[in-house]
Parts: sequence; C-alpha cells; structure tokens
Amino acid sequence: MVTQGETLWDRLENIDRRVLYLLLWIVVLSPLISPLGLPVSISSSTVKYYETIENLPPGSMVVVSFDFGLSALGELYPIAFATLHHLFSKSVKFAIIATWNEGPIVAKMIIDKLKPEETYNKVYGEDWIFLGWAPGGEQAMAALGRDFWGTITLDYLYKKPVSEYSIMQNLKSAEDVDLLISFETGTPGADEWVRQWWEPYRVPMLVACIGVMAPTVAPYVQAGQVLALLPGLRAGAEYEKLLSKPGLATAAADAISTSHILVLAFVIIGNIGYLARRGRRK
Amino acid sequence: MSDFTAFFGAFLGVLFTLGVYSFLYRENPWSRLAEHVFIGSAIGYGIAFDLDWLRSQWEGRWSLSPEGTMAFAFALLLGLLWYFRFSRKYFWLYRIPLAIVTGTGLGLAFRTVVFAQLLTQIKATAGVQLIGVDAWSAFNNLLSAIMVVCVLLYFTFTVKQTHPVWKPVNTIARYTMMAGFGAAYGYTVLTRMSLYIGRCQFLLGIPPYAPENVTFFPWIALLILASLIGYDFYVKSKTAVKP
Repeated sequence: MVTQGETLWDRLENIDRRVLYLLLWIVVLSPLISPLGLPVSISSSTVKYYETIENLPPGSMVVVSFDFGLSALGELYPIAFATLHHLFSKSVKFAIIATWNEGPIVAKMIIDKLKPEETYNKVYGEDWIFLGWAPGGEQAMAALGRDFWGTITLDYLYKKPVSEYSIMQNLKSAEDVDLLISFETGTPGADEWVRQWWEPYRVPMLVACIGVMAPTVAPYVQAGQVLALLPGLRAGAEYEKLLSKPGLATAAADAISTSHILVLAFVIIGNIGYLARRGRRK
Repeated sequence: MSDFTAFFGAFLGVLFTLGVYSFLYRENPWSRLAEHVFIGSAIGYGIAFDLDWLRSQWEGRWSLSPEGTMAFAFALLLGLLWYFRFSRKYFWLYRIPLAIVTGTGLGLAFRTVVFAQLLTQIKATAGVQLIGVDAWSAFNNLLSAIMVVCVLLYFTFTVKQTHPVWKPVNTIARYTMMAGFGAAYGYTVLTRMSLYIGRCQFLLGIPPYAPENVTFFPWIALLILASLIGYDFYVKSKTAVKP
C-alpha cells in the first residue's frame, strides 16, 4: 500500500529488507526441494582442471591442500569432494594437508564419506596419506616445500611418524610433487603457494576458490602460474558434470540461478525506481 | 556415532544455523546465543588444535634428541613471550616474537614476490599475442593490453593530467575499473549465495548432510519465528495501551 506522500517509485527503492530475505528463502529452497534441471554449460577452465587430473601419469605425486575453514563449506566442500573422488579413481598418489586449522575437519568429513579403502581399494600410507595441519601460513608452505618430514612429523589419522609410511619415501620436498591442488578462501592461499611453490620449484598448480577470490587468482591463470581455476559453486557443478558424479554443487545449480535472477530483478527494480524518481524531479 | 548423538547433533546444527539466520529479522537472543556458541567453540577448537600440533611436533621430532629438546624449549619460551602483550611493564618482550614472525614472513615473501607477482604478470600482459591467433583472441588480447596500460596511467599522479590526450585514457581506465568492480561484485554475490545455499542444503538434509536435519528444520524455524514475531506483537500491544 502506498502511503500519503510516498509514490510507488519511492516504495520500490525502499523495499523492507525482510521482504527480500523472505523471497530469497523461497527462491533458494524451492529449487532445492523440487529441482528445475536448468542446463549447466561447462567452461574451458573447468575442462582444463578436469583434464589436468585426468591426464596425470600413473604414480604421480599430488599434494591437496585444504586452505579453507568451515565457513566456506557451502562453496568448496562439493569441489573438494569431487576432486578427492577424482584422485581416488586414478592411479596417482596424494597427500592431504591443510594450512587452515579447520581444513582437517572438512578433509576428514570427505574421507569418511568417500571410504577410500572400501570404495576405491586405496591403501592408506601407500596410495594416499592425511598429513593434517601445518600452522604458520606462508612460512609453513615454504617449510613444507623444503622438508615435508620435518614440518609435519606425525600423520593426522593415526599419529604415526610420517617416515614410516611408504608413500612418504617419495615425498620429501616440493621437488617430488607433480601437482598441487589448493582449495582456498583467502590468506594463506593461492598467493602464498605461487610465491613459495611455483616460483622456486615450478610446481604445477590447480586452484579451486570461493567466487569472491576469483578475480584475485585469475591473473595467475593468465600468466600460466596456475593451470586452471574453479571459481565457486557454479564451477563445482560443471566439474561434477564432467565427472558424471552429481553432488551438492549440481543440486545447488538451480538455486544459484534462481537466487541470481532475484538479485538481478531487485537491482533492476531499484534502478527503475531511482530513474523514475529522478525523471519526475526534472 | 550413536543414533542419539547424530540426532542431538542435527538438532543443535539446525538450531544454531537458524539462530544465526534469525538475525535477518533483527538482532535477538537466538542470534546472540548462536553467535556466542560459535565463537566459543571456534576458539576452543583452535586452542585444542594448537596444543595437539605442539604435542605431535614434540613426539615426532623434537623429543628424539637432547638438541631437539633444547630447541623446542627455546621455541616455546619465545612463544610465551607473546603473552607479555598484556603486561604494561614487560610489553617490550612481546616485540621479540613479533619481530621474528614479521621478519621471517617478510623475508620469505620478498624472496619471490617480485618475480611471482610482478615480473611474471608484466611479462604475461606485455607478451600478448596479436599475430598467429584467431581474430577474436587477438582483439581480446589487444583490449586487455590497452586496458591495463590505461589503468596504470590513470594512477600516475606525478603528471598533471590536463592535456586532452588524458581524457580518452582516463575514460577507458574508468570503464575498465568499473568492469573489474562489477566482476568482483558478481563473484561476491555468487559466494554469498553459495554459502547460503550450502546452509539450506544442510537444513534440508540433502546428502551428505544428516537426513534428521529436515525433521527439525520446520519446527525450529517456526519456534524462532513465532517467538520473534510474538514478542514484537507483545511489545507493540503494551506500548499501544500506554497513553
């Protein structure tokens, strides 16, 4: 209802934020409950990310770094889940580390769901290892690059010396690493990995980041320092499609579209209100 | 995990998630409770994790030799100096670990920052291909190079930009920056929405989240919403009675 002295355009510019939030709940929950099946097109960067892992020669050594905490679970969990599934499906060896102290919680959640021994027939300590958290941010990355055994002394799952695992006989420094995959939300993240692992050792890198970090990481892709970038949940849906393993990102794809349409609609409505009011004043 | 633990965990997860989101209505005791529990548990987790890491370092490396034990004790002592931050008298001691951390951090970063984040980027921008690529890529590369140069020139404050040649340069720079800000804003919206969608998936118990979540979701949502709206009506009616 338009009150006295207040026009429809004024109202359009000053919609109660609680109305917006209510609409947001509706447009996000509806497609999650009843999926619309909107098409997901796959970008070249996602294809590159997929192909880099797909084309790893058997026996390659990969380091997967969980550089995020629980706050980014919604956006990075599906990508990390799909990536670990992809790695477990291949004949490559990999070590999981974290430069954020909540990273191991997320990694453990994924490992518990994937059940590598049962599902992929992978042996812990031989095909993969969970090294856990390396505190210190960039200093830890530099230390890991120089000396894995000295930086993380016991593994995360069984608290046994890392030197006792067969996989670690081939993982002593960054020079032994064929690919680094970082899931990141900020600092420490891609900037630091590029400085400490790409520049001195030229370790090829893949990065999956929350959307808001994409403009920061994109220049590294242009310069060839990062092979491919998966920016956000939408890219996660693309990656799941390539893997033919629909997961949380695929389930979220419709909700991403509907929520963005709502934001766009309100930006347009707000602008119409602003322009109309300005035109009337003139 | 027992059924009861899973059930109780799901209940708490839904309660605190909706407690946080109740802030969208307005600040209220539910949101404050959730906020305080989150902060407390995060700090508790951080401390426990730090101590666990110290223990693993001690057991895995430093306790194995007398030299290692000495070095570990020395590092611990240095670490304890951080706490002099809270002492007015011995505040200066806090500067020792601060200097070490700052020094090593800067030293490590400066070692490669010029190459990794400056020279490589300049080379990538300057080395754009205009010949030997398709027309669209050549146009895109040319545009990128022009835009980068214009933005850099825009921030050249040592020259007074009064000459007419600056006008198109500054216009291109402004549009380039606006496009950049727009892209950044778009990705910000994507992130915020994605995080929110992730929580909605949690509330709906979409696998891998616990299916029990969806049982609690409507009831707790109703409880929180009813308490907030009910309280607002109560306050309104009380103030309406007063003359």
